[in-house]
Amino acid sequence: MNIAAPQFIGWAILIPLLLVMWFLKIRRRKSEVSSVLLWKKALEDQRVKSPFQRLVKNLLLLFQLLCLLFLILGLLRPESGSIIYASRLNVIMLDRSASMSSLEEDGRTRFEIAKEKALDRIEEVDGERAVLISFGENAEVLTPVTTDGSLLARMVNEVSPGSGVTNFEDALELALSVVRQDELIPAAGAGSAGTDGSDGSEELLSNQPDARIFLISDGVVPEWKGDSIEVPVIVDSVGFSSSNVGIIAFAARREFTEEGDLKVLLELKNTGDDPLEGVLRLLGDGEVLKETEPKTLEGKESWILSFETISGPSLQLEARWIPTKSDALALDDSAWLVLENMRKLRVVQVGRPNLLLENALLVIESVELFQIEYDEVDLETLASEFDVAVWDGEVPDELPTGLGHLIFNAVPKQFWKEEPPLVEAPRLVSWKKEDPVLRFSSLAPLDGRILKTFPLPKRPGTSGLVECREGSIISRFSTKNLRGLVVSFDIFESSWPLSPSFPFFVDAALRDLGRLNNGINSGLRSGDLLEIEPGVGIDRLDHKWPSGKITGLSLEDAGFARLRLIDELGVHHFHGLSQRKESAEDEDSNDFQFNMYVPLNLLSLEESRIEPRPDLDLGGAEVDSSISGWGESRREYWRILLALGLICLLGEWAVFHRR
Amino acid sequence: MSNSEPSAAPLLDEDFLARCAKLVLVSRNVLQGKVRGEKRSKRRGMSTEFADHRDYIPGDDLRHLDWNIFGRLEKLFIKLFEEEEERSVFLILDASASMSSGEPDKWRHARQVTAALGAIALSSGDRVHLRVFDEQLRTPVPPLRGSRSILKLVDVLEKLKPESETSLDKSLRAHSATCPSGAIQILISDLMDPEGVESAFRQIPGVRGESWLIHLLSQSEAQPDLQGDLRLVDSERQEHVDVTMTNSVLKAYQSALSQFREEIRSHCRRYKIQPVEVSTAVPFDQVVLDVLRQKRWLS
Repeated sequence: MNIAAPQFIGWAILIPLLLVMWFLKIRRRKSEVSSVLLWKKALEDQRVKSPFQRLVKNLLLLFQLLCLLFLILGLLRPESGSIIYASRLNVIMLDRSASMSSLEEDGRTRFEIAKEKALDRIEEVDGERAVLISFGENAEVLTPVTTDGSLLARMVNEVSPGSGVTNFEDALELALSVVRQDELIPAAGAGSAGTDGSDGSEELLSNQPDARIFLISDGVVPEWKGDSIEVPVIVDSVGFSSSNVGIIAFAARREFTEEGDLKVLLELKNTGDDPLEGVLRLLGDGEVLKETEPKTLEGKESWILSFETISGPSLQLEARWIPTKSDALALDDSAWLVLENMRKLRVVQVGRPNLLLENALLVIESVELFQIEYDEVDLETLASEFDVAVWDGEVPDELPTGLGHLIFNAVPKQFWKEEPPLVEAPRLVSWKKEDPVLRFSSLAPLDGRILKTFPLPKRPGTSGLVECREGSIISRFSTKNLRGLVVSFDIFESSWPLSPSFPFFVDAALRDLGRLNNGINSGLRSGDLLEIEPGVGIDRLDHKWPSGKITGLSLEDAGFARLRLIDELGVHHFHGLSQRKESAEDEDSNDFQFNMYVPLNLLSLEESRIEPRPDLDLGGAEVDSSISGWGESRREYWRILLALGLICLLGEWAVFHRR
Repeated sequence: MSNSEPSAAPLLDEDFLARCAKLVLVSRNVLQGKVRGEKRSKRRGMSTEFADHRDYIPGDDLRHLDWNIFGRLEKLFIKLFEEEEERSVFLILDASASMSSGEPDKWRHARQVTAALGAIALSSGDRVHLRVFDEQLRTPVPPLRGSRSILKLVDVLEKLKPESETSLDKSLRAHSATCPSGAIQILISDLMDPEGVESAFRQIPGVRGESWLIHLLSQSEAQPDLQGDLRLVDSERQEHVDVTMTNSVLKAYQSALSQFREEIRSHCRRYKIQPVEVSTAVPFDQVVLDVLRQKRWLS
């Protein structure tokens, strides 16, 4: 039991004051009687018969004293559950993950209930220090450590539910770091460091943590595997509904078959116990591509669908589960993919004409080939115009960034500064068959059949794909902005171009270096980091959200942007115009436009499992589910004392009028 | 005549005196006085009413010899006659300060009762001794005889002033020393003596005559109507009691009063004193003409 407001102890002076006033107040009326003999006897008898009569006689005073006493005690604000009232820190963690959007029976979402509980907690810890943390896919401290309850309440009201998974570990680590950081702050009255000549840091570190963590969540949090939690964690569990079917996997692949050009894979799961019925609809840019028959998913049943469809010119693909009766969580009823147009790979061949190489490049259907003499190369614009540069015999000292490089018979000085020695007819020692570049190419025709080569030693940022005893005859280099392959021999001095493996190698190398995918953008999960590198001349992007809202996005100096998409599941559209071309009026009117569509999906079994799980496993900390809390909860008694004081006041009034 | 009459009015009026003239004090014991009077005495005396015979003893007055019996029986018998003696009535009036308080006026009520009893006694030929006391017996008033002394008695009573404390024991002890046996002693008092009444009652045993007690309490003493926080001041002593009047206090007072009265009755039985409890709420003439007659003090 602690006294929260000891300054009111001074009010106790009112007690003797009341007594003085009481005795001064009684102005007895004189009344002459023949004799006080019988009165004395009467009073004596009364005292003898009832030992409490004296007390009863002064019942008014007793009531007044009690009333005053309760009032003073109430002002002192006694409370239990705190070590030091003034120093305790209350960390309120508010779950805003996707599962918190589940609807409960009363029509409110779990998040609305959680906010209400958070406001109750804020009111409960009124006068104490508190900090508000919201967490979903990432944790965020919303307020500084403050005693301002209105600020906390305002921030709680401003928090909106998220659409991501629950990153509980980060959130709890953040909360614990706030608590640990708070330990270093000297408690009120601890004295300033060094005033007594001692080392103040020891004083500070010796403080025991006086903090509590209020976890307001539906319990859809992963198991805690961190260190033991040294402060009480009081869990306010919200949510009772469990009926939900969610899409937990959605993928597609371009696959040309008789049934269509797109193969779609979907997985749905009924995470509740009750059977739920619905249909699955696949939409392309809002048009229905396919719809299943009504399907009933039993409790805990998974449903994996795989089908082919014709996507046509569709850009956005949406899978939508339409339940016959709405389920609790709507966020996981939809998932999106973006189908990208399969543009041709722009490849520039730099150097002298090379028929064999040119033929190998032209065989690839998806390649648009350009040929430039070495002297005509503009290194500054190379990256904006081409996906891959094929260097034959010559390579600049500084390779331009932003595109892939396939180098034949030349050594990039950025990685190999010294000239490697020539080797004739080297014997192959090994090659990396699992590398995407060599997966479909047999290098056996090269074994001992290269007239001469200059094997490259291993250097930082490089790796050998095909190695002979003296070094690598095909190497890969890769840094943050630079990637490429080096074939360290002249193909004319080998029989490789005549081998079927050569065009396979060139095709795989171009795909690898051009970073072409299969035309399907599976997108991100809420909270994932998104990097956008629109290209030269664009320093600002428009971000069109799935809801239609448009916000601006400034790029960093390096021409790229990083952001985390955390809210609004659906397809986000990033659009930008090249500033350089806009300003050049004499240039052609085809402005360079950057468009990027990023689907943001939930696709989380953990979040779709919305059944109540109040028994949180917080490592070594015990969680008592019966009281939905662990640790001691602070209780204030001023209301009770005030009520008792009121009762005494009523008693005093009744006694006074009875007399 | 009622208790609401002004204190300046005479204690007794003529009409009441006329009604009193027909009354006499009834004593259950034959009185023995020194002066021949109108009341029979145990002593055989010189009246004309024959009482008995006794054997002759040498020295007897031969004028009382019953010659008829001597003639028939030749034995000497002396005739005895009832001797009528004058009866003494002692009116012992408490004139302490406590008698002056209370509503209706207890002091006037006491004096009226005393005057009425005195008038009855005087009109019936008794000799009336008025004894007034407070903390001691005051200077005795000379005995009064005859109806003509009624006015004097009333006059004395009207001039009395209540004062001082009460000392029943001391006063009655002094009275007892001068009170002949066989007298009627009537004590009119509220008996508010902190030292108690037992010792005092021992001084006036009824065996010596008729001892009557008129225990007079005012209406405000019998049924106090007090409220609030009070300081009750004793009318005789410099004492006070602080009391907050509650129902329980009033009940306790009633209980104490009942106990007090019961003690009085107990002591009266012990010392053969006939008590009458009188409240000033009852008019004095009703007390005299009804209550005392019902008690057979008067006939």
